[in-house]
Amino acid sequence: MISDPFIRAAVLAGAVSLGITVMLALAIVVMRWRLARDTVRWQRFVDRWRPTLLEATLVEPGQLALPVLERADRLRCLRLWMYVHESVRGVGRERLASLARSLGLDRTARRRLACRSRVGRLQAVLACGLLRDAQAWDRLFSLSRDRDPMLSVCAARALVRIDPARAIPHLLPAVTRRADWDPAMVVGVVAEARAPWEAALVPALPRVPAHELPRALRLAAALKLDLTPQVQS
Amino acid sequence: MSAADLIDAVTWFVLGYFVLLNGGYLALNLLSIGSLYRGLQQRVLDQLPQAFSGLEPAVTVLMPAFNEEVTIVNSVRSMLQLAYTEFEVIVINDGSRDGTLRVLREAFALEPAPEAGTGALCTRPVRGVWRSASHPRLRVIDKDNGGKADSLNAGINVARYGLFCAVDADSILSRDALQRVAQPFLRDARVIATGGTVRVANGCDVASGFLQRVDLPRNPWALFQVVEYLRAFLFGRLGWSQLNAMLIISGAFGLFRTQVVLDAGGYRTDTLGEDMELVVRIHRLMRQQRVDYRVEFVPDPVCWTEAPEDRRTLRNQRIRWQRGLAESLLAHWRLMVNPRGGGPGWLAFPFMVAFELLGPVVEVGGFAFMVLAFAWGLVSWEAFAAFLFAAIGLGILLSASGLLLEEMSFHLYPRGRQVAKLALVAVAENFGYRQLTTWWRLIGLWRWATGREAKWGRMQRKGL
Repeated sequence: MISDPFIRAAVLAGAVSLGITVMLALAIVVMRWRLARDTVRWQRFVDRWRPTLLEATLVEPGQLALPVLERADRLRCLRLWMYVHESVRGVGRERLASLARSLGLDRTARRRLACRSRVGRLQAVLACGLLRDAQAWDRLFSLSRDRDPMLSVCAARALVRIDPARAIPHLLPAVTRRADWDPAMVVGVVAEARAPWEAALVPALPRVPAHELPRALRLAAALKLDLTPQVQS
Repeated sequence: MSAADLIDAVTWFVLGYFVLLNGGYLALNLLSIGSLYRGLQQRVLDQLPQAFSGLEPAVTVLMPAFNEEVTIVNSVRSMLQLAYTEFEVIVINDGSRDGTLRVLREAFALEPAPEAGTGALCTRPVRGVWRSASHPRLRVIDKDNGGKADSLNAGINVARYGLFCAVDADSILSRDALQRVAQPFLRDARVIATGGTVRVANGCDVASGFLQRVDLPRNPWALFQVVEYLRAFLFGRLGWSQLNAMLIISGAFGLFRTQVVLDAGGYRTDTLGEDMELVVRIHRLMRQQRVDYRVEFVPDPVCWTEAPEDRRTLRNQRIRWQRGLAESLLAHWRLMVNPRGGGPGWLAFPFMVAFELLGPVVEVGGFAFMVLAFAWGLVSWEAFAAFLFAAIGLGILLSASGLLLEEMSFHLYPRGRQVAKLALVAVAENFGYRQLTTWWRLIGLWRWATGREAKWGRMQRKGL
């Protein structure tokens, strides 16, 4: 006959599995419930606010009667605002930025630059960049030196959006040195202010260390920078 | 050693094996949770409108086709509509006996192209290369029948770009599939291959070669496979990818550096598991040459495939997969004892041998032993029940953790009823289905060991 320890071990293994399975099932139920709740709230918010945001791209600031933005809806508003902002061009963007300021979204974004949640900080960095929020400069500057590659490259892009002339000298070494920055996102950083970047990057290329040169040249190729003077020299 | 001691030892071994097997997968699950969590944190960026950077590497899509007259035109049309900056599609007609080439010529205005290819990889004779007058991205190679691996080699010979993507002709890709699997190549120059998550398309609505609505299949065989695919991709491959030790990239959808595959000698044509064999070989060669490289997995659901809906086809598939696994592992066993084996050689390879290759022997043997020992009165009913409780409990835990990862990440099944159904399937599959597939895998292993002739067999497709 099998010894008792075997039965005990098997029952223990089964019971632990069962216990964890029940916990996982509960976690799935809770996640699904929260997802359903958030989806409903988000949809309701979008239904109410998207027409307003779209209208804001067409009319002068101050001419639009804004619905009351509940405190609990601020983050949803920031998310929707970013999406609409990225979908429009030209004067519409300026009007949207003005709308965001009148709703206090700039303050919300600045506050979230220091929050503990990485998602929250990432969202805030993107928003501050889109708003060209000069008051967020110092915090964005320190985030652009963060070890987190995603956060730092997004902060770099935000700095360029706010003030390219001030940002480029600080970021120039980083775009070739930081191998952890996604090259596609670096292209985004440079494309924000192509002409000043070209003016700074092209003369700097001969001084780029050999191990950073492939990355720098790849960037130059993607941006179709004119390297004729460097090649001739 | 007395008979009682022997029985005691065997029962402990079987129980220990089940615990180790499931514990190993749960460890992979934890790795996957970390990876998915990091991915989720960046979703705030994915939700914004995306633009191409101009750095995306150009891709050649290779699409082997054998007797695909009915579906090939729609498949090619959907491939041509992929959202990507620079890519070409090469269809390789592998000596089809139906009208595959004819329908392609008619639909895409094909005309002969004076191309010979590099001939870097030996293949069955190529009868001709065609290019499309209406779709400049499309070329078709017509060749003698030589199988999927041979077709892919023929495609690699004429591929223009530095990356190639091997897809099955019946695969349904998401429109941004190339963008997603090429992303790791863009981010990290060391990446030499990426694989994407393959999901079960049965039950979903498909129109013009693209997925319109995700739903669960009604067929129970396909339903069981939905949970299986969640387990296999979301924590199997994603977990190994975190250790740079992924030994399989699905043949249905994988992206490779063309030069690396050429240097490795292309796909082997004498194995049933050419997709796995290639990846294991690349690992071995890279380790031998001390190259710093990465093989990555993209968890996003980028490819959908039709799963078998009848027992016979599923059985043949599993037998074939097990043979392919055995062939791939045996061909490269030296990776396991190589001092430079690293994650693939010292972790993934032994894991595959112990739990995937030999798993059916121990699992079927263990269940058979316990049943017989109970029937002959050698073990008590308490011990037998406790064993079943542990074995089935661990299996359910594994399936439930697959569901958890899906729920954490992609929520592809939007309705609560669908999740409830999947949860029921995750439990039910442990009462017969998993044992049956393990039995089929054992047959595959037996056929491989006895050298029975290997055949692909014909898959009964209902179509999507």
